Amino acid sequence: MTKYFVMFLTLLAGTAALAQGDGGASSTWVTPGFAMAIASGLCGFAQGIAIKAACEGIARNPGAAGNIRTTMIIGLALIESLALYTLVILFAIG
Amino acid sequence: MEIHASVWTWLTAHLLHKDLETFKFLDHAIAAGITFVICMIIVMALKSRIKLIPGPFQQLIEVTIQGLTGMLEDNIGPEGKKYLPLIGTLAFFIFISNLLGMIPTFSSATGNFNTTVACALIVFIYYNYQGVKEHGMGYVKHFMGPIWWLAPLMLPIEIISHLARPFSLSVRLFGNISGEHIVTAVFYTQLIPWLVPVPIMFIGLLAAFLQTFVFIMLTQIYIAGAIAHDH
Repeated sequence: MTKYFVMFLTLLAGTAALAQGDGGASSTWVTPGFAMAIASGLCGFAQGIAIKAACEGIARNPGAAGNIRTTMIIGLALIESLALYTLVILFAIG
Repeated sequence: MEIHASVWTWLTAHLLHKDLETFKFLDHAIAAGITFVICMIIVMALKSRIKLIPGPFQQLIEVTIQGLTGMLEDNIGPEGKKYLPLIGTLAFFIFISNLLGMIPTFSSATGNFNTTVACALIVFIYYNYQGVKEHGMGYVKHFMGPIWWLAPLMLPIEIISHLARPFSLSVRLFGNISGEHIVTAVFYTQLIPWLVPVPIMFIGLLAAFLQTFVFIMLTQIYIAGAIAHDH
């Protein structure tokens, strides 16, 4: 129970950091930083699922390893591009 | 976002006796010109020297063309080979342009949004043109979905998803290449310039291969979807 309480307090501290206004140059990077962190984290999660499925497929059917590897690479690049849209918007705004 | 110019842009600006600041916006055009010159050197080195028993450079290009033709026939079917000019041009241009940005004083043509939007628009117009050439005005049936009374729902969804294709192609390529350049620049100037940029540049090298592959693979899938004959 205390672990969730500490997590909740950390999130409250984050809200206080966003509410501080234009105190200096460092506060304009909080929102893009959080956006990029969330995008990269979810992208890593999704790519992990893709690689897990590819490894299981190759383990079941080693003869199809070439096709599975190609499909995995394409899938990873497409998932990666979702995190990259966030990076491009970050540079376009900030 | 600041545009960093290559040494060739500086050279062109000085040769024409103009200020570098006014030439910075031409940086991607000059880099595309250098990529074009390198592609032409590759072609002209082989043009008059094709032998029956190939030398090493000819073998390299033959393996590349064989790989592209195999991919085309896997994705589009038996008539895939006639799309080899477009796919080959895109593959060579994007690959050499990506790699050129890895060299320290050069810049990538594909590291600028204008070049990648140009490539993506060419792909968009080309696959729609191929679809209209294959099906005539029955190409609009592709946007209507499987059942005829779902057409008013399917048509806007299909149009939006088709319009998202050149956008995602261009932003994916641009973001990968210029993102690597920007992260390397940040590491060099603001964080740890000693040994840490090396893995980042290695990821950039992987991204150069991978993004070319993904671009031409998606182009083939779009062409295959446009000329499909199953409905």
